[in-house]
Amino acid sequence: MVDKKVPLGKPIHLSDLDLDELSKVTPADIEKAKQLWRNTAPPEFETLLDAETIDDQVKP
Amino acid sequence: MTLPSHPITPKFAWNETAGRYANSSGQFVKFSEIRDALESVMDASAVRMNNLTQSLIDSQISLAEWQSGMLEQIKLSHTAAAAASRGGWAQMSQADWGAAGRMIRDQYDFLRGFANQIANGTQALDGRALVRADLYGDASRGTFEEMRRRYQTSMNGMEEERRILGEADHCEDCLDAAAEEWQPIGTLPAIGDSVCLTRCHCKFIYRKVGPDGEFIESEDE
Repeated sequence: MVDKKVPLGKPIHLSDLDLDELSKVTPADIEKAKQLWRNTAPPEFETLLDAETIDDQVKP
Repeated sequence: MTLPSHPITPKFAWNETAGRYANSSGQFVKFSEIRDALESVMDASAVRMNNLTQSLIDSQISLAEWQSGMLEQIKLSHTAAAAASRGGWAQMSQADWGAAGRMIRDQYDFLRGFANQIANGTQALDGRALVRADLYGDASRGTFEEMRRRYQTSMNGMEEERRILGEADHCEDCLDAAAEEWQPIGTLPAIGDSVCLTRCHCKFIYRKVGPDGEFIESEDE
């Protein structure tokens, strides 16, 4: 079996405006980032980013 | 206040005044632990970037496919880093997302240059490309610290900052910045802007003048 080499091809042409748009964080990005965190953070911290703001008086 | 319990994983809360996470017992979580957790997430993302780059070197994917995959990994790791710094998903405001987006934008700009240099042959497609790609995996550390700096400035009223050297080899820039000790907030070089680039393991601590003229330092440990 011969490995098929994929030609390098050209880069995606991205203007400054394209980068402005692409870099905006969308709800779909957030969902993917949530998965990344949950799947790769240490188990004891996998729910860390699901934290909600609580009463300011909570102290150690 | 008692937080709801969970049978498997601990629950966390965010104390906006203190700018810190609290665990289910109400104990503040050390930011050093948050940073360590982020390192695990960054490592996973870096492995994906490394795999993408190795696939490009091996002619298994095209440059456009590599670029697309890198764009996604950059965005996801920086998004997670920003939320980790700011207290979690629920605490991220539109302004916070805008700030995170600008940091992602900076990385996208660098990646565009990287892709163009691969295309025109000025970036060798070998181990050097892997080393360069690895820098993107480390870059979200800077986003974490910059979002923290932003919080300390705008939400916590901190007035001064100090660069603390991390557990790593230190470049001249970082040594110089750390030697400057306390400076007005926002004036020391950001994490990632030194010679060591995104490999920087420095962090900032902050302080402000309290009601009795004493300095109140951020509890970042």
